[in-house]
Amino acid sequence: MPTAPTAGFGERVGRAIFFPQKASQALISGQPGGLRDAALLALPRLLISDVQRLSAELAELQYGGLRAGFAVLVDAASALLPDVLGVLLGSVLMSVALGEKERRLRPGLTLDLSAQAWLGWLFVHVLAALTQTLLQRQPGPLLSAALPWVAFAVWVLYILIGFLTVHRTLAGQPTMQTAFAPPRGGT
Amino acid sequence: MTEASDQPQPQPQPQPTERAVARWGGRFLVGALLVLVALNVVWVVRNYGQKRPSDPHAAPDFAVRRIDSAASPGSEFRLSAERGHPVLVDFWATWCLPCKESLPVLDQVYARLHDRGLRAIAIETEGAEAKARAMASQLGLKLPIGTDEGPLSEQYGVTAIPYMLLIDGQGHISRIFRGVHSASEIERAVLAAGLQ
Repeated sequence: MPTAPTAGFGERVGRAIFFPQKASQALISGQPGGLRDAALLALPRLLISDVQRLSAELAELQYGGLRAGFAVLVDAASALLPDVLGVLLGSVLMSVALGEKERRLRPGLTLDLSAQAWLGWLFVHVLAALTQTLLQRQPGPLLSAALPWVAFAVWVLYILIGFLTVHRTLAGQPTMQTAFAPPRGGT
Repeated sequence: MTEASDQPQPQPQPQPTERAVARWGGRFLVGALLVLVALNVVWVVRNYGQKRPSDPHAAPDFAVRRIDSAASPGSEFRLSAERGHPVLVDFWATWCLPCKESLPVLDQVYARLHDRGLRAIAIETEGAEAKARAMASQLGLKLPIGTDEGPLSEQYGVTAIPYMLLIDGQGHISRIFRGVHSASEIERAVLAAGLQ
């Protein structure tokens, strides 16, 4: 059976959003993606949500010196903290749920799957921000309150899909441990 | 998202349509992210350009009503009236726990350097006058206390408190202190700002 050609960054991101099960299978088979793709998108995500606050703080560097610079770094890190914690939590929960079976996986797979699921969360937020920008109007209070929860639900759903894909693959291939630990390479 | 495979295979071949959807979907997300980043950056640049005064270091003038026990009723603190003196302008709120640490430090610096020309004002940012008075009394503060319901802290770009500005005798912002700082550090900065 021929293997799928290695997907580029854009295709991997799109697959993670529109075909999460296929994307999870690609990660399981050792293709790149997951955490690395999420890390590449973390900076733009930070810039669309916190650029105004961070730029105001950067403007203060001339008065505040090193301490103000440190404060900007801490603020930037804390803005990404929920995302990082979410990815870690998703990974830990997957590892706990898989139990002994996790040993048959390549190291870092659950982290990659959890980070890949974060792309679903990001997609919901980007879609909402883009719609808001195009319509030139703020969302109503109900929508504003619902949006974070919808994005979170998508994230959890994608983590579940990733977990079930791993679970099903492990159940179907009990003797092919080596298939799950190929050398990682390529882009 | 309904595909499943029980066959022992490394990875099923994706359909061409599926690949195209994934490719364009991914490009859409990345493109939309970049557009939003660009719009944000443009907003910041334009906003910064509009708000930037001709002298970027100049502290905007302001007047706040004084509520400390030493002030006569209706008196106010006006920044421009203190020209020639270094001024410490502190923003705080009654619910802010670190402010309970920073205010006594400021009060201590003010008490020590007031005779040498230092001026100070601690501005409560929520218009909670009664609570502010009570807290000032509880902390035993002697320095001038002012009240403002938000416009001033917005004008100065205060995003977190405690937030203290040191304005030199020429009306230029020479230092911004975020959080709690030691009295010696503040005193050094005040002396460097030109206190005699």
